[in-house]
Amino acid sequence: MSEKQTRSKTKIEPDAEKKVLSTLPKRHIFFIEGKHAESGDIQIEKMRHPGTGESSFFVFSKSTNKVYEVHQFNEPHRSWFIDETVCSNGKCNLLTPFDPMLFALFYLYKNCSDKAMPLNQIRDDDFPKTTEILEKLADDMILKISDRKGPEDLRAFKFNKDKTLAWLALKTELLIKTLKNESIQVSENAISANYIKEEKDEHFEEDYLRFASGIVGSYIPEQLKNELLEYLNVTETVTSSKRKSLQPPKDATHTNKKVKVEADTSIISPPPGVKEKKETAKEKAMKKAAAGTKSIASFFKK
Amino acid sequence: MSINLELSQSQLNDPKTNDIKLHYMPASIQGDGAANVDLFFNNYTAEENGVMRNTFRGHSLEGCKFTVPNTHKGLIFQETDTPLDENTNRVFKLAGSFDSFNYWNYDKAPSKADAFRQMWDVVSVAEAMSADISMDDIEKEMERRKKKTEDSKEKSEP
Repeated sequence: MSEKQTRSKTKIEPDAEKKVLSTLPKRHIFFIEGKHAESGDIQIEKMRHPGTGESSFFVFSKSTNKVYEVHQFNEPHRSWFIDETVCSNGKCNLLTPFDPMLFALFYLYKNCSDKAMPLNQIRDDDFPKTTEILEKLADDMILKISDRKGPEDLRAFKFNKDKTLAWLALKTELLIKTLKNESIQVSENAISANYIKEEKDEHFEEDYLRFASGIVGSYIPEQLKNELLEYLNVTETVTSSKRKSLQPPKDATHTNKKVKVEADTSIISPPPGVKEKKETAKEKAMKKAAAGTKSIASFFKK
Repeated sequence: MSINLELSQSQLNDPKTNDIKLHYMPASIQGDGAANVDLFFNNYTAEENGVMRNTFRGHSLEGCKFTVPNTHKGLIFQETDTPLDENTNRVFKLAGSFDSFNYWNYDKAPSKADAFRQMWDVVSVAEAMSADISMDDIEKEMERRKKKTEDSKEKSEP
C-alpha cells in the first residue's frame, strides 16, 4: 500500500518535466535546403497559416527570394545523441518551399470577396508582417485569383472564385502527378511497408484525387475547401467503404465472401483451404506491427 | 516574434563542424549534457546486412544509416538564452552540420513505414504545391469547365 502511494506521487509531480538536467544550452535540429543554408542568416517569422488560421512558422528568404514553411516533426519519445552529448529536444524542423499566393488567397477571400480593397489596407493585427508580405507579391500573380479594380497604381483587387477554383484544381492535378511519380503512399490507413507494394493504381485513382485535394484543402479556408471538393467531384464516403472491403473480415470463419476478397487483394489468387488461412494470419500480424505508423497526411494537420 | 538562425558561412564550411556523429534515439531522455556516448553506446553497435543493432537501457534497438536527401542539409542550432517573454526575438546559433546520422528504432527494423521517413515525402509534396501555374492554364481550365457545365445542362434539358 505504502509503496503504491510513493509511485503515484512521483508520477503526479507537476515539475517533473522542468527538472531536466541541463548543463548545455538547448539545441534544435533543422533540415534546410543546401542552397538556402549557404546564403546567410535565416529569419523565421510567425504568420497566420492560411489553412488553419492559427499561428505558424514561415521563412521569407531575401537571398533566394522564396518563402518556406517550417514543418515540425514531433514524434513522441525521441532525442538525439550529438557526439559526446545528449540532446533532449527530439524534434526536427524541416523547411520546404511554400507558395506565398496562399497567404494572398486567405486574405483576399476574407476581405475582398464582396468589394475590392488595396493591398496596403489589408491588415492582420496579430501578424504585423502580413501587409508587407502581400505587397511584395507581383500583380500578375495576384490576378490569377482576383480581378483588378480601379487604377493600376492603387493595387486594389477583388477576389474571383472561378479563377481561384481553376487555379486550385490545377494545383491538385500537379500534386497528383508528383504523388504518382514519387510513389507516395496515399491510402488512408498505413498497413505495412510490405503491403504498400501490392497496391495497383487502377482503383486508387480516386484515392489520389482525394488525398491531393485534401492536402491542397489544408492550405485554404474551410469554406473554399468545400467548394474545391465539389468542383473536383470528390465525395467523402465511396472509397472508404472500398478500403474496408479490402481488409479481411474480423472473424476468421471460412465464408464464400471471404474467398472473394482474398482473391482481389493478392496478385496470384491463393488456393482455397489451408493456405488461405495462413495468409490471413500474416496480414493480421502485419497490421498489428504497423499499428503505430502514421500516414503522411498526418503531417499536414496543424 | 521571430527567430533568427545565425549561419556563419566560415563555420558552415569548416570541416570540424561538419564531422558530427549523430544518433536519433527512440527514447525520451531528460537531460542536456555530456555523456560517454562513444564508450557506452558506439562501442556496442553491431552491423549485419545493413541493419545495426545495439541496446539502450536494456532495450534492443535496430537502426540504419540515414543519409539526408541531397537537396537538404542537416543543421544543429544552439539557443543560449531562451527569453521568458514569448514576444521577444530569439537567436539560434549554428553549432554544427551533418549529412547523415544513425536512425534507431525500438524493437522494430527501420522501414519505409517509419514516420520519420514519411516526413520526407512532404518535400516533394511542397515542391508540387509551390510550383507556378500560368495564367494561360488557368484560362484553359476555366474554358474547359464552362464547356462541361454547358454540356451537362444540355443533357439535362432534352
